[in-house]
Amino acid sequence: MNDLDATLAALADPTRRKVVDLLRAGPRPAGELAAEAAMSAPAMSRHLRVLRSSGLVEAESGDDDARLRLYRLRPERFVALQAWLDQVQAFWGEQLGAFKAHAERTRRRK
Amino acid sequence: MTEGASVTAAVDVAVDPATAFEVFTEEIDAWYQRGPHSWRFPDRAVGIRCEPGVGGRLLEVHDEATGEGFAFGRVTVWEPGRRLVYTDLTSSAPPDPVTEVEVRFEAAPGGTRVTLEHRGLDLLPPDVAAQKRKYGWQTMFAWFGEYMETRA
Repeated sequence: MNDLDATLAALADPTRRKVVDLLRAGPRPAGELAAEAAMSAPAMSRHLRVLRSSGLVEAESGDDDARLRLYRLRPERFVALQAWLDQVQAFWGEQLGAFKAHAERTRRRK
Repeated sequence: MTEGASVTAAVDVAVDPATAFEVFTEEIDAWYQRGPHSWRFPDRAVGIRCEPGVGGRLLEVHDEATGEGFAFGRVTVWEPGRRLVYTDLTSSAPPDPVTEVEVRFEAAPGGTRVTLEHRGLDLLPPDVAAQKRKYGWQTMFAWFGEYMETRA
């Protein structure tokens, strides 16, 4: 998997999307994320591991106590995803542009 | 807001809505742009076809003689001159969650505003989400678009 695949795979899970949603408001410890998502600490830990390995989320260094460690979003991977999304939208724009050209050309002939 | 999110594209075309719908569906093979991301099976695709009516297939034509090929969509709403909706069968099949594409045709000054919306991409399973990007326009990850807008 390349970086973008990993990003998409990480975001294709509803719990992990919820975590990303929660982290948009600011860094949070894992315990709070688990409580908000109504799941056990080990389950949340597994999701955070996927998010970290995909590069979407990072743990703030500096606190040795895992319970107090804050998780936060990393913007870099989201920027890459946005660039891809822009390409996809450009593709749609091209298709609709071709549709328009064809429709207006054939109509004039009538 | 993460569920059922969408990405949209729109164009204004100087024909009436009924004509726009007709051209979009019946003549899709005439306007659909051929490119590296246009097809599910680029080596075999020779055209594209939209079968009319609810239940109709959107086909990537592989056999010119029979007009048959790979069905990448199935029509769920068919309202000539107004609205076309199809489920995207490349991601999954009912009753599993499917992504869908809606195309609306609305009267506008000088013609028709055609708005295309691709919904539910946040429901894609991981393996499909990873694979989807290989085939271009069917691959919009809508939820993320909203995310970028809200954080800006």
